[in-house]
Amino acid sequence: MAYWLLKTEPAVYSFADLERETLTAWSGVRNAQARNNLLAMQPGDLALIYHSVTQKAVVGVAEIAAAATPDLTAPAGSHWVDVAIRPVRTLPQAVTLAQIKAEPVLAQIGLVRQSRLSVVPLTAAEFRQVLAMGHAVETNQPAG
Amino acid sequence: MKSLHLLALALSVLLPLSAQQCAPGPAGAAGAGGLDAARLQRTWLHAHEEDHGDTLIFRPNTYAFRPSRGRTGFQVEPDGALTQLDIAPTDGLESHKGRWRLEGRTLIATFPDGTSQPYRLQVLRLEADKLEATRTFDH
Repeated sequence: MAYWLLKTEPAVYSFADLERETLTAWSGVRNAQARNNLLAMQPGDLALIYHSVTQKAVVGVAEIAAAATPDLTAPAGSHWVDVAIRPVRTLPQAVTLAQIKAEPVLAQIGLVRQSRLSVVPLTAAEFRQVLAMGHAVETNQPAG
Repeated sequence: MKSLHLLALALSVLLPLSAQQCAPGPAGAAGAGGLDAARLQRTWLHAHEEDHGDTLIFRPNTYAFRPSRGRTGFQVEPDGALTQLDIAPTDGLESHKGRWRLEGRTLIATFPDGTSQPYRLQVLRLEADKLEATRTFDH
């Protein structure tokens, strides 16, 4: 299993939107490195959802439900892709960017090192550290 | 002589009308294909979930879209300016300034500064809250 971080502007698409929809295509990625990360995702991988711009915090966990397929929001014939994701749980406590930057275990996290990248791979240790800071434990089962 | 006078009178009335109907672009008049340019002049966002086949569906930006990442669009202004709204490499929208004109029922979008790919939007149907079109990019 691999771990990822997905950034989104909550005014455009929030974790609450994902919970309402229960499944969505994570579309609208237009960066080559981010696209390659989408292509590397496999069903069952877990992703932290990060609200950018206004909140600047990790707010939830999602599971990759299906591997990459062509992004239907992009012009036909383009090479952009999306993956299907479903919500797993809201973090009991959002983990802010400031908290992440202050945590030595997360010194190398892609969210900080490549701040403009919207799809970021994480190590298992980084993923679990953010979960711990958000008072959550690792699971791919939706919260009851 | 009288018939010549009448013909001249008729031409003096009809020719300007004809020229207006054929005038491309942002004047607000109907294009040659009967397209009302004024109805195009707003911000249209891609309702990609409504696309079918090669037909793209656009809705006004005031439409109650379902939340979606990757919603792009364009703004058509009366003065011939067009703003293309694309997704930025860093997420979020980025705008590209261009120009538009009508040829019949085809909106031609150009970007003199080369920041976006020019395209032609063949308008199949234009309603107050819905634009159906096919798009081809110029290479």
